[in-house]
Parts: sequence; C-alpha cells; structure tokens
Amino acid sequence: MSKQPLIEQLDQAVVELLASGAMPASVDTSIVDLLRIAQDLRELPTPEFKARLRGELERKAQMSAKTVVFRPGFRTVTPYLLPPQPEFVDFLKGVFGAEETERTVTGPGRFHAELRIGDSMLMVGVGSGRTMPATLELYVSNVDEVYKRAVDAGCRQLEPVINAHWDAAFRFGIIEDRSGNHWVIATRLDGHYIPAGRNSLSASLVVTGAAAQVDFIRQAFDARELQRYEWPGGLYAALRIGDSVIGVNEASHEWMRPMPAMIYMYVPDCDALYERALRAGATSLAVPADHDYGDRSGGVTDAWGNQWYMATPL
Amino acid sequence: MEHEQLLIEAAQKDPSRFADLYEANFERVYSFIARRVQDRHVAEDLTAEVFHHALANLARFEWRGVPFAVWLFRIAANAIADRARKTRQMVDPRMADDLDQSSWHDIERRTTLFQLVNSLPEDQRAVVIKRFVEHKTVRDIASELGRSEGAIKQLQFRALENLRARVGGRDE
Repeated sequence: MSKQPLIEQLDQAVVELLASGAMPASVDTSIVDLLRIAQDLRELPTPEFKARLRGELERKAQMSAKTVVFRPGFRTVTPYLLPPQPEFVDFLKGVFGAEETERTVTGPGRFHAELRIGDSMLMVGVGSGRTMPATLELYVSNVDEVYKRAVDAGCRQLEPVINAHWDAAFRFGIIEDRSGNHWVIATRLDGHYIPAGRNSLSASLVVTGAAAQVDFIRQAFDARELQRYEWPGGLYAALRIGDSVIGVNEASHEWMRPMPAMIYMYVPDCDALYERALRAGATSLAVPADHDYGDRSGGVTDAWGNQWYMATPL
Repeated sequence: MEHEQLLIEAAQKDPSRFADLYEANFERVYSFIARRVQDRHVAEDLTAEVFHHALANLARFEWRGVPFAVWLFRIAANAIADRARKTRQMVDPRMADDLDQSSWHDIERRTTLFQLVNSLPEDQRAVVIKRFVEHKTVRDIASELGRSEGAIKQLQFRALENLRARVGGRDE
C-alpha cells in the first residue's frame, strides 16, 4: 500500500485524538502504534519550560553556593525618593542629620545619592523628571527639636508634636517637605528612642485597601506582621521584611491620601523574590538583570502603585 | 547506578552540579506528574516545585542504592497530594503514589520518547512540538514553516515512525 493514504489517515486520526484526548475508535492497524506515540506526545514538555526551570535552578544553586555580601550599612528595605530639586539632599542633611555616603551622576542635572540617617539608609534620585512623594517614619532622639528644624526649613505642619492618645510614650509630629514627602517624626519616651525591633527610617505606605496591601506584602515578600491597629475606617500595620520594618496605612483623610512608594530591597536571591512577587499578583517593571552599578536587580509594581525593586549584590 | 551516585555526591558538594541530575531526570519527573494531573500548567508548576525542593534538600538525601528518581517521585507524589488538598480535589492515592513496576516501565518508556524528540531532524522536531504541544493545525504549521500542508503531514508521519522505531511498542 502507498504511504499517501496512511499519511492522510494518520493525520485525520491525530486531529480526532487532539480534539477528544482519546484514541479514535477505528483506525488502520498499521497506524495504531503511531497513534499511541502521538497520544504520549500530548504530554511532551515544552523545551522553553525545561530551559527556564534549569535557569532558575542554576541561579538558586549559585546563590546557595556563594555567600552574598550585602552592602555595608544597608538593611533589607531602603526607601527610594524622587525629589525634583538637588537641594533636597541639603534639606536631609540639615534637618535630619543625614550623611551622604555616595553620589553617582547619571546624566546632566541627574544623580543618584545614598544617605545614612540614624541606623538606616535612604536612596534619592534627583533630576529624573519623575516625582513620587512618599510617607516615611523616622525615629529621632528628640522629636520636638527635629520637628522645629523641619518647620524652619519650610516644611508644612500636618500634625503638631503630641503624645499619642493610644500610647503616651509615643511622641510624634507629622510634616510635609517641599517635595511633598510626609515625615512621621517620632521619639519613644520610655527606653530607647527607637522602639525595640524597629529602625530609624522606614517606608510607610498609604493606600486604599490597607488590609489587602498587608496580605500582598506578606505573600510577596514573606513579611511578618508585627503589629496592627484598627479603628473605624482606619488601619495601621507594621510588617517585618528581613531586618527592616515597613508601615501600611489606610488612606483616611485629606492629607493622608494614597501615596505609593518606591522601595529598594537587598535580598539573597532577587530572581526568586521577583518570581514570588509575580505569583502574589504583582506586575513586572523590570526582569532581573545584572547592572553595572554592582547589583543584579529587577522590579515589580503592586495593585496599589507601589514600586518594589529587589536586588542582590553581584 | 554508580554513575548516578557520583552525580549525587558531586551535587551535594557543589550545588551547581545539580544541573546534571536535572538533565538526567527532568523528563522522568515531568512524565510522572503530567500523567497524573492532566493539565500542562499544573504539571509545569509541580515539576518546578519538585526540583526546587530536591535542590534545597539534596544535602539530606542518603544514597541507599535506590534510583534517585524514586526520591523525586516521592516528592512529586506529595506535591500532587498537597495541591489536591489545597484545591479541594479528590486524589486517588493509587494515581498520586503509584510506583509499582508497571507504572515505572511506562514512565521510563515515555521518558525515552520525550528525550528522543530532541534527536529528531529539526523539521520533524518542529512539527512534533507545534502539533502536539502547541496544538496547532497542519495549515497553521505549514504557514509558519513555509511548507505545503502535505509536506507537514509527511513530516508528522516520519517523525512518529522514527520515534516508534527507536522507542519500541507500548505494553497494553
């Protein structure tokens, strides 16, 4: 018999097989074995999946084999601000006693700066043309002095310095700087001025739907909830990510409007965290890649507009 | 078997050598899972889970003469059962953890088949992947590859004949 009818018969049977998943009822015995091969091939893994998984495993193996040396002074989470004016750096130095540890010119009128404030770091990108005012929590040894310096430097007073009604040992005030960032400046009055388990500077997200935001951060970044206060229409939660804390606030009034933030995280395996964030519902901003500034990093954005960059030193 | 033991010991000392164990067992694990979950995306998720778990726990693996794949199948069976619990699906324990001799033979045969696809001539391999993995029609494949529909059907036929000749028949 010529092969031509068999080739046609086989294709017709393959069409039926792929449509129904079952072997066709009556086929020429000479092609039964071929159809059985075809039936098994429906479960053939894609070469792309095999290559992708191998790449993931190789990166994971490399990460487990080497000790990641993190940048000295950096915590897991570092807030990243985008002020429009370079004078913002002087503001940070003058009001909060920030120490500039690095400045990299990235273009005409543009630079990336890193500043130490207390036991934490802050990253600043000036001149990008983008602004993204954020809310930060800052623990200082004397809130009244720092608050006054901020107001003298032109900050807008959002909340005067008071002892919190829910915790008399928590003294705080809130200001808005000229770039639109909100600073919750606080001093713990009993014991050390920084509460146990906290650090000097933390990002504090203000979102609509804070409870869902907390769930996302827990899933995406393996965060642990340290505390949560809830009241009618409001919520504040503190979450630990690595050795850092991040706040989440329900947007609840005029100046406490949604303020998505930009976060830079140093982690042992940025690829794994990037994938985890995507699985938790984030959207990719940048696939992890090696960068000439010494980090392998990628980024995602969440449903609330926060931008999360995860990096591993090369 | 001795070769496999050496691969395991090498990977335990240097995790970057895990790639050798992965290459030797990928099709085997995927085949085991795909036959049980009947969904490509779920099969991929679970296969990834198995190898990530194996890499993370390789230091605890003790060589006792049993094929490494059996350890991987145990991880896979647990992953399938866990997923079924999470999605509240009934799981047939015989399906999730069926490692008897006949199942083993079937897995090995399909593993060989999947590996042999890579040794097909490139045009036959392309047709197999587009037809059986991507579920494309002969017409679409012909258009993509710039060939006639008759030529694609012929490539499909030759590919299946080649694979049958190399893998042998199936026990029914």
